[in-house]
Amino acid sequence: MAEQAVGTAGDDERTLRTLMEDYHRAFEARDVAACAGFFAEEATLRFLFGSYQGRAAIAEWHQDRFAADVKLLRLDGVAVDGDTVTAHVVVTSRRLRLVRMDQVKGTVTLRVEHGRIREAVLAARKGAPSHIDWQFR
Amino acid sequence: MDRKPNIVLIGVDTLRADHLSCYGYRHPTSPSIDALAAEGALGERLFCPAIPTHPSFTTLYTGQHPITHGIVSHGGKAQLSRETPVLPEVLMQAGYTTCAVDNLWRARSWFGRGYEFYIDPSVRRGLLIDVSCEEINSRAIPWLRSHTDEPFFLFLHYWDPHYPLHPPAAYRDLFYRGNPFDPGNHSLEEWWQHPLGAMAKDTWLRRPQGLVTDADYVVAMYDQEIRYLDDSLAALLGTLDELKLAEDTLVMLVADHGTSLTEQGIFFEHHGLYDCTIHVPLVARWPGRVPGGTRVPAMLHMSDVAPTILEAAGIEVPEEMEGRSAWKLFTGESTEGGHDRVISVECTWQAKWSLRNERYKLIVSRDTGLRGGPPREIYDLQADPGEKTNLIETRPDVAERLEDELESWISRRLQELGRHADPLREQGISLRHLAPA
Repeated sequence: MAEQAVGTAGDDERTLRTLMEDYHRAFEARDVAACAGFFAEEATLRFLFGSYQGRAAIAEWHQDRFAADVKLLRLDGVAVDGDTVTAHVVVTSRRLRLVRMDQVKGTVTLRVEHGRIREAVLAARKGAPSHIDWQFR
Repeated sequence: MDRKPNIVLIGVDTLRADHLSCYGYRHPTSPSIDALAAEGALGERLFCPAIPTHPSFTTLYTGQHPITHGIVSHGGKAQLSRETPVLPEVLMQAGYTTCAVDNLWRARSWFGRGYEFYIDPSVRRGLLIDVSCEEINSRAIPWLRSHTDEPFFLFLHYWDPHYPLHPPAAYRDLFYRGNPFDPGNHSLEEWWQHPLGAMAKDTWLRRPQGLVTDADYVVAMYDQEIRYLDDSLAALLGTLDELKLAEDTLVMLVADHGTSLTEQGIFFEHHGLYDCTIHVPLVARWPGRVPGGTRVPAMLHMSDVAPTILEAAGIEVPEEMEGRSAWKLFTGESTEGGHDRVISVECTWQAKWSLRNERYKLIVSRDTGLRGGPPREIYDLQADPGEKTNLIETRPDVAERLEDELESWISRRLQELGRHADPLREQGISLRHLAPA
């Protein structure tokens, strides 16, 4: 599996932004190995209410996302705070469209340690519930 | 009556009666609800004329059968007539201060009618149905504390037993023994072909230890959510005690519908007019008015709840409400009441009517929609309470008799209402897009 260590032990803001951009490129390229390589071996990825533990499980998550044809429609902003980089995104997928949700506003938060993602949290953005509660249409 | 009672109406989403200890369930899921029933009355057989959430809560609020109020689908296009009285409005007009801690108004505006206060903590969530009982209480309890000097009607809508099921960590070992993550367990794979099952597999079935594969563990998760909710109800009820309001407050608990937990091949979903989905709890407590330990065996309908509350409060029941008050059954003033049958309807994932009497249930499909399945079903509820054996081929005599009764009732009601079309055929299934891949 490709190693994607980025930056030095004192990851600065530019390094973290670069990591987010590089990860985004790998995601858009549907490169499971490359995406998983950004994560630490024992990283945790929290996806809505679920939890994926370890790089192998996180690779599986990426496979499922690519199978569902997840696409990033829009990037609404990136912010860095210490060791954490947060991106506000708008995404779509075949599975979302199947339940008549054209797009979902979400937030991707990555906590980075020694150049690798230690924890990733992907959640629906608060304050925009109408985008995800299909039953409330 | 010297003063109006306060009224706390608890509506729990997706709570089936037979998973509460006070209804005989084998696990201790509901000590607080059990205590409420022991201190008051338990309605053994409350049935929903309409499922799921939008049709059922509309039935509760209006005291009308869905063929009358017209809301037969969840997320459908029909609107409730502005002329139809709803329980919160009637109570508000009678001098109650009305408050809902709920989010249904976001979907359909009539759920907000009559409420002076509408508090919605779910707006802080990315998924409205994911609001927790603790979040509901965090708004309801302070509101209670600041409204002790006026008669109030407080409606609380708890969502915890509804998917996604992800009880707090402290509850996750309850009610189960085994390995939830056994890769050799294939009991959920059929469900994962359904869009909602696929979403569950991606999200709330994923734990740090791995993917939950055991359907029995998902049932345990449902029970864990009930216990979590029940513990929050203890906090709510404890506040009534602390504020010295309990003696002057009618507390009533119902559910809008239950759920299948793999029964009839329906995985953790609430469609299908089977008893696991249409039989819901009904508990009422008003110290000094409702004798503790009262059991009401009569068959009751969700449309009876509003008239019951209004009679308890000494308020005239609007003539538009068709339901029958069960108040005197709760107080012991009468043993006569209830119904001998319930006619139920669904038009969300499939379009079906059912007629349930003391012995049999007939289910007739207008559109099998999502699941396909037989166009007609009949079950002997005494011999087969789990509704596993369709007797449509072996008991055509019973099926024909009940179908005549059902269709005659539908025709007569439509004529009385000045309508012509069966609302299921007229409106169509609202969530047909949620079909298996």
